[in-house]
Amino acid sequence: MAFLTLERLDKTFGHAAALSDVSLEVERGELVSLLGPSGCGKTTTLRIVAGFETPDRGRVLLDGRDVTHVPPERRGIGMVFQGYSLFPNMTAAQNIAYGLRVARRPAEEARRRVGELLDLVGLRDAAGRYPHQLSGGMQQRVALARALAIEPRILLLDEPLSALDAKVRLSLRTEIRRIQTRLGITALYVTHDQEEALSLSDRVVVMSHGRIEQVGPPEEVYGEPKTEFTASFIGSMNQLRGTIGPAGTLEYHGRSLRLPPRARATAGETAALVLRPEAITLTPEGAGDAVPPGANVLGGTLVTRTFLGPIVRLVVEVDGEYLSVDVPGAQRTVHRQGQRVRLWFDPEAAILMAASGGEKGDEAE
Amino acid sequence: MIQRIVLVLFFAYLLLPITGVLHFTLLDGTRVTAAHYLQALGDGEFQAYIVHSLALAVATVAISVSLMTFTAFWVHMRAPALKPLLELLSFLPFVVPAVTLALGLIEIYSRPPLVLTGTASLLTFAYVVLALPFTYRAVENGLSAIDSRTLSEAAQSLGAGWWRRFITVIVPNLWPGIVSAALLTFSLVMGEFTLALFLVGSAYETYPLYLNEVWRSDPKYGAALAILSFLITWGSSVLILGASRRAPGQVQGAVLK
Repeated sequence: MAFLTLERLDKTFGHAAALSDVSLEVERGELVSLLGPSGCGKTTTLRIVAGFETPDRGRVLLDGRDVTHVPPERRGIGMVFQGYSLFPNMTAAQNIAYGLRVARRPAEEARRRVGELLDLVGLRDAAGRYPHQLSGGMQQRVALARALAIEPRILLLDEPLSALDAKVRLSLRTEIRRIQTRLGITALYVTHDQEEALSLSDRVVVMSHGRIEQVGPPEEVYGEPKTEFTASFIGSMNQLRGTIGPAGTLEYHGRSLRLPPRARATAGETAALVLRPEAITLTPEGAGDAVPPGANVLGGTLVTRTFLGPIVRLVVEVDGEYLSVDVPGAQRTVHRQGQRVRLWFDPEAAILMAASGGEKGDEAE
Repeated sequence: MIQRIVLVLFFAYLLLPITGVLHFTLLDGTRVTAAHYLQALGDGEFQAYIVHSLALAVATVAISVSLMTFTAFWVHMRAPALKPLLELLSFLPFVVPAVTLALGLIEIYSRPPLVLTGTASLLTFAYVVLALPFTYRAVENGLSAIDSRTLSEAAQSLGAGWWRRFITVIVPNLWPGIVSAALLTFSLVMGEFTLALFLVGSAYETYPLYLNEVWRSDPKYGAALAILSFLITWGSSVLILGASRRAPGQVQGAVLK
């Protein structure tokens, strides 16, 4: 049985449906991210797991127990909030000790435990400082230590890094994951930052408008999006829209594009081949570079070139539409605006989506 | 520079009437004397009535501040939709004239089951109501300033029940707001005249009432009592502020750099 089960949760605030039929299973020791834009229901889901909200319908089962109507203070959770959650009237050490004092642990044990946790988050020297004397990153580390002090069953994190500087975010992100795996604690992590979700999680739950769009390991959610929302929300996606031809190809601006082997399509229907910018290879026309047999080839004109550091993003105009192509930043090929180029990609790298936005293939859910 | 000038002028404006009264009380004709102040030392009534006022003030502060802190926090967390109503109610004492309030209270509390007219208790309760706008506002501002919801939820996630959260996390961090409320309430009660006159009168005479009486027959002594009242209220405020320094820990908001 899964460690945490969310069973068909519904939640409405006033007239707005915040959650519709949300179900999820989280295994012990997993770190699962809830990812989506503002208003998608990810925070509501987390708060229901925490107990700060009660679902209108559905159940929450934690470690074999139905906790749907159990108040937060009796669920055995540890929670890290977005910010300003440290008690300003207590030092870092006192903050961390708070849960232990509430649980009436002996003073000696509490002292030892606080020391352990301060070491875990690398803040031994800051023990006697007050929150306003700590940087944002340090505050969140104390908040994490405080949540872990009481050995919670599950760790809940509500966009803990959103309020921090980019550099701090990066280092703290790695640290959170390190601690989580080291302790083997189950964690639910809410974020709107895809990079965070993809880098931290065992599995990612993509949410939109109160529903779960897709659940899966980061590579799967990124590389094999099952819905149009997931495809467009995670990373960038090119969409080649056309009609399925009689020979089982996609007719795109007069060219016949081969479909991925798994795809199932009926002639005459509208569909789109969806594909990542890094899956396309670009060569200047006439350069004579070899194109693998079976690849889909398009021709177009280079419109813009943007240097982004690790990658260079090229925008190519193909028959009135604009496609994005990413090439490694280190590749020093010169690209000139207005240059005629050839684009090719392996049919397997694309996903066929129906006009309605669902994947069309054998594995489509 | 302009700021300083304005500040000086402002204080001059505030202190001028007091200076005038001081001048009046310290001079008999052309002779400087402290006799009118020394008169208070031998005046048993003065001592009794100042104690009455202080007692009322302390009782009012204790009840009003604890009641409103509790209520404001409860509404803030459990029933935020009720806030506008609470705000409206807390403003009523401003709107209703003191005389009307007094007469209304007499109407209700001069009959069974609760006959309280002429008692200090009735006056205390009336003062608690009168202090509502000050205490509620001060506490509510404090609650919003400290993001009490996040703090409360954090404490809750760590296993703390309602009372524990309130006492260990909310009250210590609300301290400046609570002290403000206490100070405002204290000064209000020390200077209140109308309700004291109507509700209790001579049954539990308060300092302002006594002052008013004395002033009619002995203006110099009355004026001296007024200055003493000012000093006592001011002194008590300083004491309350002093107590606030020693309150639990740092209360500045967290700064995320």
